[in-house]
Amino acid sequence: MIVVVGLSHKTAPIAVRERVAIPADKLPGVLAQLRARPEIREAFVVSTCNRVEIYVAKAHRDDIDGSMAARAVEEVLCSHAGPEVAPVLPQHLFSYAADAAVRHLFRVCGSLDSLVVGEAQILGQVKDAVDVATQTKTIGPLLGRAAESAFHVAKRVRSETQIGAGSVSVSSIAVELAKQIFGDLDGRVGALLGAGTMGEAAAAHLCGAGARIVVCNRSAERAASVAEKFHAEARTWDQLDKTLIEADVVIASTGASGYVLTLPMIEAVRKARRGRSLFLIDISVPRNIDPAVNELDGVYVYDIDNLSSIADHALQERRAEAQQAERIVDEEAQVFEAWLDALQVTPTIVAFRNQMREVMASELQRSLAGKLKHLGEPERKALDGMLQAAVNKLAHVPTVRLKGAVANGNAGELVEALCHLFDLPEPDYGQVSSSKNESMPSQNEPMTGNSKASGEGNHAAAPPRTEDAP
Amino acid sequence: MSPSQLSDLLLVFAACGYAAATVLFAAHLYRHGGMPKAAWTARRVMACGALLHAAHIAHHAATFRECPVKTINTGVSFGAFFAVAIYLALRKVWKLQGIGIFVAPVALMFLLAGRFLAMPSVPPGVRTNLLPLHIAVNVLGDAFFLLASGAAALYLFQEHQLKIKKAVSFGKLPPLVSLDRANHGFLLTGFLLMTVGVVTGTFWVSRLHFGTATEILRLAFGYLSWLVFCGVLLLRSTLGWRGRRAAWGTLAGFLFALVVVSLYLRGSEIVSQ
Repeated sequence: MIVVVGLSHKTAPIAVRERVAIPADKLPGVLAQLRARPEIREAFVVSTCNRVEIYVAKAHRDDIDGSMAARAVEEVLCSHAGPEVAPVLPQHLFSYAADAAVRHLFRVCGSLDSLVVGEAQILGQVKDAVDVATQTKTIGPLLGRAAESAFHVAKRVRSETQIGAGSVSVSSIAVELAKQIFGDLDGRVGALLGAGTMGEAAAAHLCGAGARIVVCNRSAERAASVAEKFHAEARTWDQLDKTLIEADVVIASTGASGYVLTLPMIEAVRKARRGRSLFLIDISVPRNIDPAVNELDGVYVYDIDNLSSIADHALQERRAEAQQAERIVDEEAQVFEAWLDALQVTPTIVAFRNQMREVMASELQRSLAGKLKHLGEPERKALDGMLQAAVNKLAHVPTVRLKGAVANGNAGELVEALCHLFDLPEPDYGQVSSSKNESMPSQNEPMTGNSKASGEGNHAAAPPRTEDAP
Repeated sequence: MSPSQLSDLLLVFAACGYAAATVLFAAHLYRHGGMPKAAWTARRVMACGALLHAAHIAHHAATFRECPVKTINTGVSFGAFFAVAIYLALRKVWKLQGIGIFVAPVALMFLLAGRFLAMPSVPPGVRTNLLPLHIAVNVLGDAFFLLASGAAALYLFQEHQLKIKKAVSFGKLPPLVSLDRANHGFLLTGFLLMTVGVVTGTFWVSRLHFGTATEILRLAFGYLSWLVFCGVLLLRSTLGWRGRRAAWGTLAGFLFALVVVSLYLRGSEIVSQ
């Protein structure tokens, strides 16, 4: 079962989000911390300026509703947030389990849960999160498959709806605001402080609108590397004042934990700017620009939360497209659920048949070594065939019923009952993942002893794909 | 139809045009996301109003064989028409699509004031050939100040919207920089015209008696508005005062100039015919 616990722009203000945000360098540590918990089997963490979400696969069969795993994640989040935020953190957290968690992941990747519905950045951010989890080996077949399906959902949403057309991302809203202040941005100077992903996206939008970009970074190499993308000028941090005097639009996107641009600093450069307007876009979490700077004449500061109110209007216009995208999420969630059910059913059927076969074979061997030892080779082979056929006939009805239950969506209960009654082992997703591209035997064909199931014994019915997931 | 009836008919149609334009501009600005069709119609209705206004002025001048800027009452009407014409001409060049909401109602007000207020009595000492020039430059200066203060008012409104970060709607109003530039351009032009008006006015100061408080106030506010405009322009060029401060300065100067015009018109009588 997949469980997600986290907070987002919908549940927590920026003041809380900036304290809970997990920087890229701390992500492997948090993932290791999660994986070390006995309640958690797999994990990956999505940490952006708008959300911190931890997706896990529960480890215990006893954890029926995933609440144990959710509590474990909550504890890890609280320990990461620190003692100041931890007491209030639970009230800002949301938690989903099973189907709801999968649907949430699909909605996040489809940009339906984004600050600006339809923006494309979130998909890349989730991909990065999955990559980090893959590198740290905390992601397994279940979450891996869920992520893969989520990327497929995102692709469908983009290609089958107009949700991305005329996209109003945080970056493009920032550019629209800049145009509202300066009009034509041709020849204006846009300064990018730091090198965050969102910052680069905003700089790219500015550059596209005709602005000349200047990149200012603490690392000269990083500044040069980012500047190269925009044919921009790279500057070191000691040239910050000069940059602020020249710039019309400043995008702050550094990883600093405090204010990079303070009120006295902007007051000082304002004199040199001789009254020219200055638009400061703070897309960092924690914030990089002191909000008090907005009080200065001719200076406009917008942070992520400010941009959200503007994004709300765009959200209204995209509601129709979002509804269509929600239908895609529903379809894909059903496909995923069917796959998950099949994931549980197939190894259980195989284990059930193997167990029956082993019992029969054991009894046959004992008889052949005792009362039936006078039988010749042809008779022995005939007896073996008869027992195989008996196993197939006995297993046929349970197999058909279980596969039917997959279609009906209640396979989990039957699998649990079968495992309990026959003392079968719990389905192992890990073994399944290695063969996830193989198809499950047809529902009309009972598995035979010579079928694929007789091999490693675990097969998953992969959701149908018309194209490769990204 | 008598000439005066035709003149009044033109005036009524022109007034209706300005009123309709005001309503349409307001609808465009009030509705979130704007009403581009309303704005488009407003500009055309305003242009029709301006044409009828011009016809009214021309007809009046031809009928009474009188220069449109000979007296203050016809002068304010001419000034209003001039402001509308400049707005329509420079709207695209300076991206001033929203200022109509300010220009149209003020033009309507001045149009009606010019019609219903009688010619004020002119002291014999100032009845010279320079009087029409004095009135003309002041009226034209006021027309530019009207446009400058329209740009300033919209600047302050839009700046406030951007500062509070709510209900920002893109494209309905001109960019701040355009408004600031328009404010400066109109103000500078108006100031140059007004300076000529102040010089000619100062020439006549010695010939006036200043027997009433109205005359003293008129003179004081006239110089005050000139000083305010002068200060706004000087501070902009020397200390870089622009944007909000320049906008407030422009509005203050325009208010004083408006007081001067009102004091002139206050001395007039309501026309009864």
